Amino acid sequence: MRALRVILRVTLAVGGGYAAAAVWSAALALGLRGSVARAEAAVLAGMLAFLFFLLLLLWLLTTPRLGRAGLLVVGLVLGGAGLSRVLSAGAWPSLAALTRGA
Amino acid sequence: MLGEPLRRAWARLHTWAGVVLGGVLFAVFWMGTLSVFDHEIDRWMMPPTRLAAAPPVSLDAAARAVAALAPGAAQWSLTLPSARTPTVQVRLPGSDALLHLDPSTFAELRPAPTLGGTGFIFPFHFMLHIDWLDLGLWIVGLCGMAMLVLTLSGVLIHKRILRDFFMFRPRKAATRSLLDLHTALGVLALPFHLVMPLSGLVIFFALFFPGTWQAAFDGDEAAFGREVFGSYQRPTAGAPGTLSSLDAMAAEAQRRWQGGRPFQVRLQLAGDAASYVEMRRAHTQDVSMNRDAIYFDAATGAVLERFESKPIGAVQRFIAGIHFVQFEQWLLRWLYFCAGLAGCVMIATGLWFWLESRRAEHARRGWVGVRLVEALATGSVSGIIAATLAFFIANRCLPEAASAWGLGRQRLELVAFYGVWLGMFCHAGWRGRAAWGEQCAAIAGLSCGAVALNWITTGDHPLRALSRGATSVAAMDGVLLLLGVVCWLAARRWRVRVAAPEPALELARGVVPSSEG
Amino acid sequence: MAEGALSLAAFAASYIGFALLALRQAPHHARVAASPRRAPPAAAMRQRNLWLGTAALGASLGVCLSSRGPSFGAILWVLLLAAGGLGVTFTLAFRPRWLRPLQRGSAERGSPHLPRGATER
Repeated sequence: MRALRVILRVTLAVGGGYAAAAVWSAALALGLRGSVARAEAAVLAGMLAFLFFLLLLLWLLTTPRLGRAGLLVVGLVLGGAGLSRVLSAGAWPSLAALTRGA
Repeated sequence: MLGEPLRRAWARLHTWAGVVLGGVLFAVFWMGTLSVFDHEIDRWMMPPTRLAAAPPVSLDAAARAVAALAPGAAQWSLTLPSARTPTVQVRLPGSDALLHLDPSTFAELRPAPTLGGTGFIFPFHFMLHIDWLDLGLWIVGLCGMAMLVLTLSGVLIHKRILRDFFMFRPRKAATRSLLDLHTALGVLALPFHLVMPLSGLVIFFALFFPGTWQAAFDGDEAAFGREVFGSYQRPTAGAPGTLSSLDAMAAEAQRRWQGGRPFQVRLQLAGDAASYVEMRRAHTQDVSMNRDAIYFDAATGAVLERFESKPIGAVQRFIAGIHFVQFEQWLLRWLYFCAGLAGCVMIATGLWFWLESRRAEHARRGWVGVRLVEALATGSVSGIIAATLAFFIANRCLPEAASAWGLGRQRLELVAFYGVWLGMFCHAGWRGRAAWGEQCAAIAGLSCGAVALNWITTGDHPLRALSRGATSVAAMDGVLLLLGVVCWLAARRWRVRVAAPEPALELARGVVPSSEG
Repeated sequence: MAEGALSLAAFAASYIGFALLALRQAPHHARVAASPRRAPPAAAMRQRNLWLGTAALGASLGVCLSSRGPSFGAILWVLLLAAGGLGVTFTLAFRPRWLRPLQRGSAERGSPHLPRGATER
């Protein structure tokens, strides 16, 4: 039913987009900790999170291939959560160190 | 700009988001626009605080006055007079209320209990007064994101944006002129419509994306408060202590800030040996809402801690400052106000364009969509304006010790606001298409009534207020009268439009075919 | 006082700049001229207005920045652009004749559709 599809799309866009932005901005804050003060990392990641959420919202609300987009969002959320877990454990070097080496 | 199928998807998004959220968006935008002048509204609603510009205040004298007011208080905060608020404002523990002191005599000014602009209108803007689980904040946050989505989608679906840049045809059919005005306001004030929601959201980054600071600080909220917002604490010593000269501390702060003045002084652990004083730096000279603070030992006046945002933090403070508009640049403030009003008209014209372009079809198909949206839109637009005026009128009419149904005067003013708002929704549901014009006429009457009541109850008509130095009161009266005139003209024009048979509806060219809901 | 005068000048520059840019477009050009001629604005005039209009907007920015500093100046400019643009839009909608002085001396002389000598005064 058409109404159901619309509700599903909006839920995916708002809920999934927010979750993806939240985990990836947390990962970014963790990754930046090595190169800037943690206060700076938190603020920068917090500000960029809104832009990331906005992009995801715009894409998810208008893309014709909703099923594929949905899978991608789930992947983003899981990937971002995993990356945050890994970065906070400290086992991997920070993003800055990675780019310095490259 | 976009291929046709994608453009239709974006157009559907713009239409749906606009129709569903337009009412709430209008409320947020309207209260936000008024919030530019929230302190000025306070002056209007609290006549005893309508003082002319204050002379410089001695902090030590003010501190003695506060100590006399609340002898046993463990802490207090004192805000110095500014051009917009010419009183000394004191906040004591255990009370939400703000005390206003005369800056020359430190006598307590006792305005009749009211929430005013800073207590009702400004918080309504960012949290809708829905405290439960911070739901109001999250709803407004969602509206902020929606505003960004609507603005960007509105630009992208516009087929020939440069060609229509200056196009406004007021004498054509309603759908044409409403859409022209909607797009003109959207496009020409585009930076404002993008920067305002984004900056508003950025203010609350710690609430909306707590993962960022929890990750960076390993969940240590106290450390986050210290390093990002400069909060400082130290435990009590358990022994009695003294308070040295606050004026000397203020002079030291001004020296360290290279001329920047303190605007707020907070005393913690009063009477204790470990008592300390926080001085916060004024926001009136820069765009940035700085969190600069210096902490002094109360007994010796020695500097304990100085906080200044680091570079990226300073960017966040600058962005917050663009939204908060606390700087005292009058032309800019008035332009912000006008831009806010333009945004309100943009939202309203968007809603009315949808209504006018779907009216015939919904009537034909027996759908209730247009009737429902019309009632909600009217209640959300003219309804909230009328409710705000009722709030001002109640403020002027209610006696100081008013109480009814167990509610104090403050609450009764809110009853007036919400009661009239609800009444406007009911009126809109009952009267349908004619409601908008009738409510505009009501607004015209209410706004003139508010100005008249101000004159009757305080003796301050606009010219007298100006001569007295209470320019904010004169300005508010002026804006109220202008609102009355505009709404009266709108009401007359609407009556003409509703009475005349509607010509064949011209479908908005190049936006959305009317069959798409 | 000087600051107010400079802000007024910045607004005027914004308004005139947008008015010149608007006159490059055929519907607005025709409305301001209020003549039944169907000739679109001449290419030379369109080119000239693009340069002058953009220069006026740039001048507005310059005045804002120099009178109020970088941050306040930039904010003021953006808001004055909105004010100027909306001002031109409403002028074109309600009093297009007010913009006729900006049209004089440009379209007439440059238009290839009028016989030579028709604009000699």
